Amino acid sequence: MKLETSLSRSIAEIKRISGNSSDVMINTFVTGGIHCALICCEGMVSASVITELIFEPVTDIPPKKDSHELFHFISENLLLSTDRPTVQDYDTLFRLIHSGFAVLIAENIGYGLGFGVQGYSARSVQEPSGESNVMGAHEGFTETIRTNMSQIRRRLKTPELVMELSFIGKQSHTDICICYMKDRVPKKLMDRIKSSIERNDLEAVLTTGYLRPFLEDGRFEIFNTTGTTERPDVLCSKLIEGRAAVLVDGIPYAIVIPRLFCESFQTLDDYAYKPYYAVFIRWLKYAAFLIAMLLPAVYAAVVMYHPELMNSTLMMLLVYAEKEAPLSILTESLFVLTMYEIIREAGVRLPKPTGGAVSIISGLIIGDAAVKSGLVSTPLLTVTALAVLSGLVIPELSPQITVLRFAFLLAGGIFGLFGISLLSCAVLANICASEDYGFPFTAPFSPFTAKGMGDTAVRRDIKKLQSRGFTVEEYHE
Amino acid sequence: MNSITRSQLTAILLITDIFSLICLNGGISAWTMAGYAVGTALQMIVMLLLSSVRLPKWLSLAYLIFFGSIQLKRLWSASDVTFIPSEASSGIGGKAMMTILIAAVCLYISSTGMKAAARSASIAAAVGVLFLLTDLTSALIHPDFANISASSHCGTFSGGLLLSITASGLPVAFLTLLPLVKNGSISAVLQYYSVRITVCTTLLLTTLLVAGGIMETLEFPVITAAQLSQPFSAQRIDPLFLMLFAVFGVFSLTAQAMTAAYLFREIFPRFRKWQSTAVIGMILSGAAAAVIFTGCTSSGLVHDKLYLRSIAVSNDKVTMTFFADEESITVGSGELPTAEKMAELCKGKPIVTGFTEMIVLGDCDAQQVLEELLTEWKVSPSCMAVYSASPHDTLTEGNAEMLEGTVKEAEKLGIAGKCKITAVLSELINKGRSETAEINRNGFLNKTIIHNKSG
Repeated sequence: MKLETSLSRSIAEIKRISGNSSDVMINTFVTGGIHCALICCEGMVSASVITELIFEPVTDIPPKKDSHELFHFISENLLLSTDRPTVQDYDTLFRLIHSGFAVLIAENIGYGLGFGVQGYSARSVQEPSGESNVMGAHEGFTETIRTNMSQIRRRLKTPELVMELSFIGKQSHTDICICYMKDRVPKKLMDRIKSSIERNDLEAVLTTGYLRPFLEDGRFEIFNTTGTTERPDVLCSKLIEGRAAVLVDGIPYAIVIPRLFCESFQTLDDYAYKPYYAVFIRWLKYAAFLIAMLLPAVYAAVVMYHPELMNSTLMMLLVYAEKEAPLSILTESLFVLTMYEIIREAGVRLPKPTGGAVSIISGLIIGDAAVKSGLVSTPLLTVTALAVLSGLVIPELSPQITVLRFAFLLAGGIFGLFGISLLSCAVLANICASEDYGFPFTAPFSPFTAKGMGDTAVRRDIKKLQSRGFTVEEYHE
Repeated sequence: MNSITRSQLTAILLITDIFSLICLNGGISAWTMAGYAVGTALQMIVMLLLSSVRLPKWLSLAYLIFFGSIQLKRLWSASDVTFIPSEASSGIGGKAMMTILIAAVCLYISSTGMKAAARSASIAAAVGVLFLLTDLTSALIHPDFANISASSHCGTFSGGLLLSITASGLPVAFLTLLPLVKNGSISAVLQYYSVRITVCTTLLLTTLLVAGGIMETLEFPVITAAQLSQPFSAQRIDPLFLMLFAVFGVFSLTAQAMTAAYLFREIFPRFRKWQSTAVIGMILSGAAAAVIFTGCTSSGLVHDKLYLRSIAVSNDKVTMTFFADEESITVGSGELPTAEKMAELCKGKPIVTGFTEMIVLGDCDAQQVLEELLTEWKVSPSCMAVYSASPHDTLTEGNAEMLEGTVKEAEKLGIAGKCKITAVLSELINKGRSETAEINRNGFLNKTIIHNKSG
């Protein structure tokens, strides 16, 4: 609905729409001989900024003929803020004041002027909690989209970097920003991403999980084909490779499109070390991924169905260890893994003061009492601990590893290595079927690209990697 | 339309070729290998000329369903010797369950589409070739080139030519998928057939090197060769071969099902939603009369079994000693299956034979006993076969660890002859006699000669 020309009716309409909400502040005054009102949201604007930059200059305007002349004077002669949108309707007015803008309306004029005077409390830039590294920057994204945009812009000072602001969410009107390098991302890809975002009919966007399903294919995929990152330096490296990113106001993560499976094993630290060490760490991660997913299952399968796979000394060790255990290997493994998941979830959710108590109880229950009572054998506990630790090497894949670990354990415990093989085939097919926006998820492994191995199977020297001018478009099918 | 690369096409078809050889039933020789290589090369030449030929879709669909049924039947036949799963609990229910699982996985993979199936086949093929190279490497560490000549009578050149056609079937899947390759038909033909010649002849060569000496007794030579080629004498890795067998079996079936589903969709576009289900259903129906699988009923407790350490065999008695300080047992039967059942009955626990370290032969048909222990009991390939005048007293009164140690030392010093079961059995089959160590309860005595007939 368009703004009323009558100031009193406009104010009445604003009060009606907001339900007389206490945080909507309406300040009426006269300036330049014209009755005006400044609308803002309490707590969203900076009182000092609004006083210095808005009230003082605006109330000092000489008399004007009418409202149009007043607004023209304010727009052309007074630089009250760098962000000065025009407000034509009440939807835009409320969206702006709820984003920390102040909106000036006047008598006998059908539009308003917005001024960016944000002053709400926001978390400062801190070290990212989930993606730590040793040699790189220690800055992470925050909940404020404009701060995040500035962090990216600071690192990529090129005019090729485009940031397109818009908003989504029927109720939340959440600001989003699509970032991409216009010389590296094809227009077709950007059009598809924008149409994917537009087809969402969400009421609010409160976490990346709300938006990601719209950016991914509708089929069941075990692994996400879009990535997230909490680090601006990582995001910049993705943008340079020709990917697009979506920043969402209120969420300290950026969504990266597209994402490949091999990226889960790459960190920025890899590029800070010598190539030989980086290759070692990368292969360690590949091995950790397989150990995390398969070790409990292979242990159960081998011990229960294929004991010949172990040498006789190890086999006898297990026999003595399992003598006291009343449950089958499969049941023991499921029990231990379930206990671990309960403890892990409790550790994430519980209030900090009780954290110490949980650590003690979990250590006592599983580490000591369960083993001494014979409920669980020590080799099994060791195997489970190794698998769990290995899963922590790749936190990005933690949800998938957790579920697949259970699935493989059941397959191995019931059908032995045969069951593990069958499930591996199905999981492999699912991973290979994951493909969004024409980028195969398993590239460059399959379809195989020899050039891609330079930053996947190994980590070539930075000079050679940079000179290659790689963009992810090379993998597009 | 889905398009695949030549490497993906090669991978899909190579898996079928390798799986067919894995399930090969009957003996092979160096002539078979040569015939196979020549036959494959001839097929390559024919395909280069016929690469633009398009077969009738109906005919191709029918053949692919038929060949898929053949592959499933081969999988069933070979599964019994590959421990699927390891505990033998026969029954139609167990086999049916395994079939349903394999069919479900094949259905899922082929439903993900041609590109996804091709990509996953590439990865599976790469891993599989790595496994096979491991086998070849372990075979080459201690190569016995005499095995190649020892098996020369087990196969012919013409048999190899025929094998190159019958093992992998007619190139219907190849001709159906060839138009989908984006890099050109001629290069796809050359790549596929040259890789096939290399990999398959390497597989056959590995089989000859490892199991050539005992080829006559083998039902599935490639599987047995994989089970026998152990890089580490202290531990077996043949169950890992089971994973390769299962994965290749699934992808081999999937290749036929996926190609048939593609043709089904072309012929019946109205039923494209059911293309994969229909094709797999038809393949299962076609293979309905095949061999049933073993089931899986493991109680899941590892300590409630007996692990056989050494065995002494004579015409009328069998003595067994075990790991974990279990007392030895002597049963009054010279027939191994009966002896095993009697021992399990006396001890009240099942016996696991995969860890057996020593076989002490007495007055018995050595060749028959060793054949049965190797193929039916699946003793460790590094197991030693020795002779004793009083085998049962040797095992019951002697210390098993000490006995094994003296024989190993004697072997190292060259005064005992070759005592490994495969070496002894190979000599018995080919020469009718074999040198081995003679022991008594105090350890190694001297080198002796045993014959393949009792007495």
